[in-house]
Amino acid sequence: MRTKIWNRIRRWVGRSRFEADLAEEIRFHREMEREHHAAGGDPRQFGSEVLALEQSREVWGFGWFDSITQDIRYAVRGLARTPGFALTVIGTIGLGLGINTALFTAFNTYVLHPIAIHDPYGLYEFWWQGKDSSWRATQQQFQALRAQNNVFLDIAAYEPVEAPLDGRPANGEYVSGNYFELVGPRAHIGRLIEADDPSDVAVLSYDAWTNLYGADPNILNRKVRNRGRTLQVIGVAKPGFSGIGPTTLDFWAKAAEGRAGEGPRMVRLIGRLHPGVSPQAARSAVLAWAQADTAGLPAERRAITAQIVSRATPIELSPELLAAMSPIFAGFGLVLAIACANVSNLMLARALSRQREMAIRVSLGAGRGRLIRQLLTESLLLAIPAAFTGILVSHLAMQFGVWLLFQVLPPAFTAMVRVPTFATDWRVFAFVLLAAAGAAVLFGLVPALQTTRSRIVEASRGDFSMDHRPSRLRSVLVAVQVTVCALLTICSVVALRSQQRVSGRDIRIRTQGVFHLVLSKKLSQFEAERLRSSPGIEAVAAVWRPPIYQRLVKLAVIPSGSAVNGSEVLAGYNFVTPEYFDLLRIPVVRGRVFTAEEARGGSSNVVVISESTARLLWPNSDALGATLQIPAKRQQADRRSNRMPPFTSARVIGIVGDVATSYGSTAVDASCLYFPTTIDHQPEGQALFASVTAPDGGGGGRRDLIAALEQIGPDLADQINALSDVHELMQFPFRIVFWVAGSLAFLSMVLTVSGIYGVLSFVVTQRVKEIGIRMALGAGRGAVIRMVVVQCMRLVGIGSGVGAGIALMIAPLFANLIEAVQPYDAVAYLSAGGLIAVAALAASMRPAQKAARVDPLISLRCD
Amino acid sequence: MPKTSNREPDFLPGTLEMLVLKTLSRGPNHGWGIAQHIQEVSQDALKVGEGSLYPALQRLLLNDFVTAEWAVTENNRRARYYRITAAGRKQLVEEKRTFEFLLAGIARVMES
Repeated sequence: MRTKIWNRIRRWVGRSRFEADLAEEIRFHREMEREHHAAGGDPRQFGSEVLALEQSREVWGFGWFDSITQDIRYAVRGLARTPGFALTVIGTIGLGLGINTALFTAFNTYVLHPIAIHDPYGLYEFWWQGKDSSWRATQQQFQALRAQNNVFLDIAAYEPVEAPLDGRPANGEYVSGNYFELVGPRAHIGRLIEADDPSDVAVLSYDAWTNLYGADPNILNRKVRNRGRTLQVIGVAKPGFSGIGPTTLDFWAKAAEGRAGEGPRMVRLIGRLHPGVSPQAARSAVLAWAQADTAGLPAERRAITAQIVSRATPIELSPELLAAMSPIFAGFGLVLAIACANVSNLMLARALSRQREMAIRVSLGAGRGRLIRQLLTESLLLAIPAAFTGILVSHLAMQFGVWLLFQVLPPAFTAMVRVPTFATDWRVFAFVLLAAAGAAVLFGLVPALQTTRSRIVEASRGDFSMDHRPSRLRSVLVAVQVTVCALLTICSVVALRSQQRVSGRDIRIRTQGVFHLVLSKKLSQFEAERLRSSPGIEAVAAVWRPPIYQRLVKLAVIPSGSAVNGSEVLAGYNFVTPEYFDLLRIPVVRGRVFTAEEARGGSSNVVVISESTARLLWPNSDALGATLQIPAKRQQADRRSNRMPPFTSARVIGIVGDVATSYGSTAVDASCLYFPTTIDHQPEGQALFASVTAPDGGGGGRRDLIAALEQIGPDLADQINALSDVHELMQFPFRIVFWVAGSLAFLSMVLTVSGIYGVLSFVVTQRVKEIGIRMALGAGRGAVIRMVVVQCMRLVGIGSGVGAGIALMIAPLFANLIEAVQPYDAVAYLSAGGLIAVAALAASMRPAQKAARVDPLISLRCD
Repeated sequence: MPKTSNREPDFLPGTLEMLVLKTLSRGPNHGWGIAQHIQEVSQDALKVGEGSLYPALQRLLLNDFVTAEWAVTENNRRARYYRITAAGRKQLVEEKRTFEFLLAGIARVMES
């Protein structure tokens, strides 16, 4: 096979020599034949000399290559004659390709590009879950499973740590000694953590080393502080490895031996599969092991399911992920489609002027297939530089994206955000080339089919007049553009309005001077008192699920003595300390909040409910003093953590004001039951709220808080976030969605307007004679302008209508996700329609004026 | 003259190449010489036209079964002489075996 290809290439290189040889050979053959015949020999059959040559040539299989080089040479000559056209096409398609490539690069970075480790496809994370949804393993389980399993080569454990490194926000992991050996990244300088290292060693990521430590060449053996531990840096990981999950990590430290007085440390597990063991088999093995291991535990903590996910890429590629991403891909893809439509239109206009050329070629015997191939070659030739432009644009777009991210992010959080190293690998190049080829076919095929419709009869008569279909086709293209543009504009206005709704609302809790703390260890009652009495601290409260961050988890309760008696009602619930209500300024409407005694879990089972909960559970009677039954079995639990009140019935002792704390909702929480807890009952790492007396701004309150915490222990706080910043952060996703949708809508608007402008200009030129006649017959300028504008507006009307229709069709998908997002927002539809109408009107003004300036004397005199 | 003799014989695919290789195994020859030899030896049963001979020679060249070189004939004409290669001889043995196997099969079918 190799010799064949090599021979073919040699033959191709020396093809003129080869042709000459073959021709001479056949000539010789014929002469011999003639002489033989003249000498009385039997005549053999004489075929066509040309055919014999052609067939001999075909053996070498280069015929198609010849015609393609012809096509390319011809296309290059044609495009070089119209550089403006070529540049416009390259720019337009490059823009569309660029933003799609930027999106794909991000997708590639997280989902497709394998992490820079040894054999990434053998690495899996796994866990098991019980009914109570706890999903992390204990240290003991890790050690036991590591010793007993036979599906993994080895298992390592890690726990995520979001805690400052030398006082600066950082993300890291505490890892088991075998973590790096198992995962298999490489060190940039120094070495990675090994099994027999002491427990105070750390490895920095390359980015953390350069960004947090200025690429300090003396970083090795430097001491860094984290959560009160002093860690010694022993190495820096190679760039490209920043953890095996979607979070970009800054450091890894060897997990400390369990500190005395702490509960079992919970870890996450990763393993490297034995070759030949499928993930499913491993999952079953893990589940079987976990079921055996948890058999002695209470029923709700026994393992019932196990999961295993690939850690080859930061995010595993799954159908669910693709489904979730598809609206984003669709939005970006639509902009490329609009760009293609624009170029298609340009090519149609160009094709019309080439109708004569095509007709001549048809009458000379060119097949339609050959002509279409020629025209598609031209498209492809434009698509290649467009692909390179696209790569350039994608780099700019990503830079813009990162800049935008930091502009939109509340300043308090910018230090926490890490931008990943974007993976521009062969997948990205393959994507951009494929997309460019696809685009070329998309924008080239319709004009190619259209242009080669010349019929041979008309052509041979010398009738090269164009038929009227192209302008209809162009109108369809413009209407499609307007459709897409309308769809994207509606989406972005909906996003803008959602963001406004979120930012403008009153969440009814105090955010000024309140800080949300995540502590690295549990506070004892004594330490909590000390914190409370520190200077500048007004109050300290604990809460199980902090407001604003997420939705409330729901619990099934049965209100007794009510109209809904006997049936279960799902209600949101939380655990708070008595100080919580006063600290967040949640008014007590009736009754009272918990006493310290009740909070400590004394004899009385009590609950405080919100006003809307009172209306929900006891619509016709007084809620105060009523009793709630809490059936132990059913609840809609959160996946990660779950907590149930320690009693099965509770008396309502107080009714407090409604608050709006669920993430992204505009209305008050439909229901909330507050159960009592104390600070020292809080699980590790749970939320603590502290309010300070110092006025907001200037950072005085934060300083007081840090000073107070420092008295209790060094590096106690993993995070200290002002509640006002958190409130602002909540609006961040809405803003980003608006900016992305808005940018896409803006691009599509620009492309559509230029498309409308192009089509109208062309149509006016085409109809100059007709307009001249109209004017000669007495049509005024106003009537001519109106004619052009009406033609444009008809397309815009159709396009906007269809776009709005499509928007309404996809609206149900988004209708009940988040309360602030209202996809049936009439204002969005009307304003988007208005915006497009104004833009289209502006685009049609110049062509309309050009039409109005038509001088019937001149236009009717030509030809 | 019967009509069939006007037509080029329908060679089984690959048979012509085998015949060309066999001819060349007796010594280098040019295209016309090959055609002539096949016709003579087959006693006019097989007539090879240029339309099939030259493509067949190209296929053999492509696979490196033969080499070609310009030389001068006995009557002082420039002609392209084909020479069988080692790979060509191996191919000839292979094709002969296949052909005989095929022929025997056909014979058995026809005689049954």
